[in-house]
Formats: sequence, C-alpha cells, structure tokens
Amino acid sequence: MIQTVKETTLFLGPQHPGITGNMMVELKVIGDTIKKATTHVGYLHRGFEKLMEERLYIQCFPIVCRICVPEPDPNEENFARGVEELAGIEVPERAKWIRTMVLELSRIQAYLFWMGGQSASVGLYTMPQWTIGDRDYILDLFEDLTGGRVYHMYIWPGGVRRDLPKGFRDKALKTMDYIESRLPDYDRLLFENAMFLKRARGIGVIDPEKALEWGVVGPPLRAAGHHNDTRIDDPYEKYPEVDFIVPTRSESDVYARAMIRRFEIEQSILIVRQVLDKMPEGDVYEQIPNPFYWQVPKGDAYVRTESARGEFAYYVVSDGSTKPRRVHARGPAFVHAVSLLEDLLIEQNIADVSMIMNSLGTCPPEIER
Amino acid sequence: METEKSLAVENEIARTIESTFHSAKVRVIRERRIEVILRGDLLPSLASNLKYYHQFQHLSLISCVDWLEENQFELVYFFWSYTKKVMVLVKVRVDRENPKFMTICPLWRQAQTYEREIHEMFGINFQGNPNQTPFLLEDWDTIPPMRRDFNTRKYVNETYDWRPGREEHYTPRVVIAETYHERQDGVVKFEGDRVVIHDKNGEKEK
Repeated sequence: MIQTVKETTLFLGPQHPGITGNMMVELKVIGDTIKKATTHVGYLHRGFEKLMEERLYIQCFPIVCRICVPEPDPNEENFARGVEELAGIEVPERAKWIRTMVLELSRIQAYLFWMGGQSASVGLYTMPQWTIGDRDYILDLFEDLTGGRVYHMYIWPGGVRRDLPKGFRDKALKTMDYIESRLPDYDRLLFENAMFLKRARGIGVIDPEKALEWGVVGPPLRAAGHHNDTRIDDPYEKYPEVDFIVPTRSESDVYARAMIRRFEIEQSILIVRQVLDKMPEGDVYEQIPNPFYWQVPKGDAYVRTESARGEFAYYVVSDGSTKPRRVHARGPAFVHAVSLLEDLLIEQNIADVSMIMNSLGTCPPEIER
Repeated sequence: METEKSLAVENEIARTIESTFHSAKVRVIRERRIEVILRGDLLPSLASNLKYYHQFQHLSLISCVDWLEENQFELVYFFWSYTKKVMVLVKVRVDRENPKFMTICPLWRQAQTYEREIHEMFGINFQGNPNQTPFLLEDWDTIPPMRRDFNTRKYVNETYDWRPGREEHYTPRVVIAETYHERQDGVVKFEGDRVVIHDKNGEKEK
C-alpha cells in the first residue's frame, strides 16, 4: 500500500486562544509537522504613526501607550524621553527615580501576564487565574499612582504627572513582598512542572550564534547566552545607579526563555525596593512651554528602552513645528513575530506553535501600530 | 574632560567611517549616537563594512521620513554594536518622484520586513527584496498612506459613509452646549434616579 503525502493549509488565528493577539499564522502542514509558516498581520492596524503627525506633542501621549497593550509604559517613557532629547529638557532627579520604578512595576506585571499565557499554551489553566489575579495588585498600585490601571499617561516630557500619593511606599513594598512570596508557588505549578519541562525543553531553539544578527532581543537573546540588556548597554533614567543581575542561559529553548523571565521578576522586585529606598525628595516635574503652542526644535532622536519583551525604541523627528514630523515605534515583535517566528516554526509540531509564540513575546499591536 | 574621554569610542568610529567613505558627513550626536549622512549608492557597502569590520551586528530599525518640501524621502538605518555599545544612524536621501533603493536583505534578514512595510507605507521600491506584497493594508488602491500628501480626513470622507448623527461636523462639546443651552441658567440636581432642574425662581421642572 502506498502512503500518499498530503500537504494541508492550516490557518491559526486571528481568533484562536493560542494566538497572542489579533494575528494569523498560515501553516502548511504534513500530518502534524509544519513545513512552512507565514505570518499575516493587518487585523489591528490603527495608523497611530499617521495620527500622531496631525496632533500636538502632548496629544500624542494618549496614543503612544495604546501601541502595546500588555505593557504601555515603555512607550510613554520612550516618547517622553525622545521629546526631551529634542527640546533639551533636563528631568528632575526624583522624576527619573519614579520613572524607573514605574518601568520595573510594568515589567513585573507584563511577566505575570506572560506567565499566564505561557502556561495556558501548554494547558495549565490554574496559572492564569493566579498570575492575572496577582497582576491586579500591581495594577492597584498604578491606579493609586496614576489614576489608570492599564493605560497611565503618567510619564510626559519634563517628568511625571504627579508625585507619589500618601502611603504609596508602604503599599508598594507590601505588594513586592507578596509577589515574592508567590514565586515558589509559581515554581511548583509551572517552572518545575514535569509536563512543562517535557514540552518546553529543546523546543523552539534559536541558534545562539545567529541570534545577534537575526535581531533577537530581550529574554530570547539572554536565553541564547548573550549578556545584553538595553538597561546596561544603553543606560537611561536611573538604571546605572541600581544594582541588578542580568541572567543568561545557554539552552536557547522555550524553557530557557521562561526561566530568564522568572529570574527577572526577582531582579525587578529588587530594583523597585532599591528605588523606593534611594529616591530623593524634590520636584517631579520640570516646567515645559505651553503645550498648545510648543514648537519643539528641529532635529531627530532615537531612544531605546528594555521592555519586558526586549528592545523598544522610538524614532522622533521634529521639523520645528508644533506637531511631530514622524514618530516611528520599534517593537521587538516586529522581528520576533515575523522573520524569526516563520523560521522557528519549521519542522515543529502544530501543538507547539502557541508555546513558541508566547515564549517569543509576540505582540501584534506593535507590529502594526 | 570627562565628556571627551567618554566620547573616545564614538570619535574613533566616526574617524574610521570618514576615512573609508570620504563623501560621508559624520557627526557624533551624543554619547553612543553617531549620525552618518551618506550618498545613497554607498549604503550597502557601508552596511557590510559596519557589520563585518566594526561588529555592528544588530540592525535595530529601518525608518523613513517624507520630506515633501524637498521632494525627497529620507531612509534612516539604525545599526547597534553590542561590543562597542554605539549606535550609528545612517541617513540616505531617495528621490520622491521615482522612489527606488537597494535592499540590505542579504546582510540582515529582518530588513526584509522593514523594507516591505516601507514599500507599502511610502511606496519605495527596494530592488532585490524577495517579497514586497501588502503587509498591513488590504486592497489599497490610492497613494501610500504614510506620505505627507495623503490626506486621511479626505480619504475617509470619500471612502466611507458616516453613521447618522456622527457626521464630520459633529463635535460632542458643541452638541452638549446646544442641548443644555436653555437650561444653563437653572441648577441641575439629582433626586434619586430623576434629574430635577431648579430655575432661578426656585420653581421645579422635571
């Protein structure tokens, strides 16, 4: 009997619980094995960059934070820093410390969010309930600090919008203690789980030698053994003045990336504690010109942040008018979810697609903007 | 003194680029940022020079700016060196009338996606790019949307119908002011789930 080999086309997404956001991966499969993968995006294109060209600088802040849904703060911080670099504004010390703290809190909540997605992708449905619930305690902190839970519009040119509210420090420390006390539970349920170990090891391996030139950034790069982090390489805000370790691993698979993120939660908790201790008193806001008539000097600036998924960058160009000439947001997913994912999925099993996507931190909003 | 010392690496890279590419205008913007303004046809050779001789392994971004007044596009390439911790911004100008440029896909494969997006959004044709099919937009038949002369508002008005009551001149603040204009002299109070308006004479009106 002759067995015929038949190639089938499988459309994964845009509505699929395993896909991180509104995108589609077109798979050519033989049996369970993927022979070709193509990313299709365009379900979420809102034209933010075009919108910003017709708005005042201050009106761009409600827009930039919507570019990345799970982690909006690097966008705000990047855009604010880009405008500050163009206009030559010096930010008060205390505002820089507060920005560092907000970015780290944002990183922790993004990792908790990711942890839920990663464990759901292998069928562990208790973890999302726990981590999304614990993430809400950090969102409570954001609500106290900024008034918003997910989108904050808190960091803007010249500093931050307002100082820490009364009792914020104690509440933040308490929340950090709580998140830290939960990590052993997460370990037992996900990181030491035999099923996760069996499925995640040796899957989705990025060639460590090629990782740098393929544009891999963030936890996937560190999981490939490269000790690179924008917080150290291209320092910004108050990162040179806090102590933290950048963990690396050499396996470069889904499990290594998961462990990198797990250790970075601990480091972020340490950074938040240091920031709360070291933060000086003082102003949080440097007076800027009237934002309705503010003509930002001509020039361009490229600013970078280490977000939870890797290098996040903004290219801001001003032609000397009240509106930006061009704002270009560079998200890590633009590389991770298109050229890298298409390559990694080849010869993998269909069931591992969403696990690999989650481990790369795929986020369609920042591809399409 | 300290700033001079900290810019040593940047100045050295700038000098090397200047001596290799005589027509390039090189400027150290600040710590870890170098700007290179380059003649268009030299870009692939500068890119491979940076990648293979100066350890600029990472292509961070390719961006495009439309300078409508000068009738040119500006392509900006961002190369980052993990070993030297320096970013080089290479700027080249492309004619706006017949925009075409060379691809750098053979050097960095992620350049393919960046170029594909720029081709869609600005209409620049990257020669040698294997796939320049539509990336984000669907059935787009007018000028590329990120060009400065593309008028978003005009396009929307011509292409789509407004929902009744949501016409273009609809501004919520004006509508609210007009709706409540005659009641502005009174005082609005909530009594339970009812809105009661007290006018100046103290008379109640529902």
